[in-house]
Amino acid sequence: MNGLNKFLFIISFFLSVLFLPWWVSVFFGVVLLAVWRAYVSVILGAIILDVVFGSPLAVFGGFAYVYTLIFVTLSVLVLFLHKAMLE
Amino acid sequence: MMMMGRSQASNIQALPALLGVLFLGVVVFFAMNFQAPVRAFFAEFLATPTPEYASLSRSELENRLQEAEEKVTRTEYQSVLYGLVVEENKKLREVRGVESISTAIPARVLSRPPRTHYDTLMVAAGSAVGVSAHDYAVWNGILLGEVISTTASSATIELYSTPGSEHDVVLGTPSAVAISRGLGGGSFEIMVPQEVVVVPGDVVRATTDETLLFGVVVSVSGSATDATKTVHVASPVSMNELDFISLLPAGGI
Repeated sequence: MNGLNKFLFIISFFLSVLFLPWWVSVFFGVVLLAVWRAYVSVILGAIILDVVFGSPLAVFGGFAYVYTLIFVTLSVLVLFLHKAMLE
Repeated sequence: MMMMGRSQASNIQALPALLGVLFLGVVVFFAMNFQAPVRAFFAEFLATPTPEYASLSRSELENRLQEAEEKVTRTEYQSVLYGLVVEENKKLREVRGVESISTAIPARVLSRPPRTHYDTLMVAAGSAVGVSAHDYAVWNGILLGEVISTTASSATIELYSTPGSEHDVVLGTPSAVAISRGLGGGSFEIMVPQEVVVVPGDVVRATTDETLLFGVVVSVSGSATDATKTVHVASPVSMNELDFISLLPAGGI
């Protein structure tokens, strides 16, 4: 059941990346990281988001991978927190 | 000894962060190579609407066919009239010495804000139909942005309201050229000298072609003792309602 939920969330996340507003993708991404620690899926989705819709942003000095940066940072944070809580 | 153990432990803990930074570097370096095929896949397959006739019954299809045939007959008649008007327009232009109108490329909008934080539009018209980088995106006389990249079947347009992007505009009385700074979501901020009279409702025009509207002044703020005042401008079009836009060649306006 847990595996099915994770699968459904991953599918929803990838669909939201392509067809829904950014905040839906961020919500699914955060849930996937917090509950299932699905690092690969979330970072892959962020890369797709940046590659398909991204453009260099002047406010970030022309950086065009904002979502990838956000989700990599979140993944590292989740990894740290997970280790810290287990110790 | 204990300090060495602690140092090794902190090194191990820092490993995910280092790997994360390394991974990000790899993405930034290599992802551009995948941009064109991934965007083309999205534009050609994923964002293509499903055929609306697939689920209709036979009788409904027959009705629609009949309606469509009637419509074609009406359109054929109208096209004859249109041909006469075009011919008349051409003759008048020759008499007045007006050059032909630049050819705009119509494009269906595949994605628009707030799909992403990026203030970009993706349209279903690419280099195959003559779209190229730096072409202008226009909707009903309103200048929206510029093409930044193209694939064969799609183009990505950076809106002028992209946070941090700066562009020249004309506004106020007497007319002043100023720099607009994008704030995102169709909003801009412009600093103008106190001497330039700007009131809410004034139009802001693009320097590339003053017939094209850039935005409308929403409010003006700043003290009368300051050298400059801040003008808040909004685009009169709601970006999330755009279905079709026109792309004009960079040198064509």
